[in-house]
Amino acid sequence: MRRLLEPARLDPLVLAALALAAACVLVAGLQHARLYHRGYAEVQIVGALFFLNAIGSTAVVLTLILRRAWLFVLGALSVCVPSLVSIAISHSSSGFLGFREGGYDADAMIIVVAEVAAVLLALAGGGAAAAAARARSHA
Amino acid sequence: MRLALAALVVLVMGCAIAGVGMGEAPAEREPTPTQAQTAAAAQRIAALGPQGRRLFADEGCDRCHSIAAIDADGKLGPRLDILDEDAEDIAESIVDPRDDTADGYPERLMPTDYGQRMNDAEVRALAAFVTAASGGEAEEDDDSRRGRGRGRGRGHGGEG
Repeated sequence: MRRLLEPARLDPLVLAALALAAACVLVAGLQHARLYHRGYAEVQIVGALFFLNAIGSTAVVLTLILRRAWLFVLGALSVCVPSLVSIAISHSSSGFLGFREGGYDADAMIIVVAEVAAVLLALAGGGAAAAAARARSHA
Repeated sequence: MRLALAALVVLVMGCAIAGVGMGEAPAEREPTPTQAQTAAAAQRIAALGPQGRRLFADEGCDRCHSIAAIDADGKLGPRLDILDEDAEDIAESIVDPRDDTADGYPERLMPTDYGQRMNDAEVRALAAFVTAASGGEAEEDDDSRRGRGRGRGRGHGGEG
């Protein structure tokens, strides 16, 4: 827990990966905010989740700016993975909380690509940071 | 530097969350029916029977479409209470929404499987409900058609 809240020392390459992940989280959050104001606000629960995604994405990006790398990795995964799962479920015949979508248009694709990239980059950056920290502690 | 970056992120996301420069839902540009039109639609809907209205809610149509007479306030798809289409065209749009997408709306948003999820009688009941809500008249009510079963052509002229 303490590790999550401590400022992390990061290699430039790891920092670059996490910064890219943060940019992707930001794009997905912006797109959620945009869609919220373009009609999703009226969709019960789903609309509120779009709104919360935008707020959560902002908070997650701020954690990296404040050098809380582990908190950022955890936050990025906590925002993006449930969002991706929800998008997939909403495109299934059962729907997500009663809301169904028929296909992936440009707006949905931007979110999917940004969030998949954010998850992969956060995992890669987090993994590399963990390996570097382990190496430092052994040295 | 970090503080400036954080302030920039908060500013940009704050504006987006507040809706500054985010545009509006296409449905908000459409005219809304008058009170008299809404009251008349409510009467037509009440006279129609519950099946179409139940399907409208059960299939989640109200999440995306607006009908003032039943307080449906979806904004992702076009308003359905100002349509100028007959029941046959509406039934077609339900089972094949990609065929003729309303201008300004996302083309791939509406699911394409309503023809599989509902039988023909249900599609007609739903179309009759939307027709009643929009001020048009259904050619026949769903009960009179129910016995005909599935397999009719869904395009124009498929009746009969």
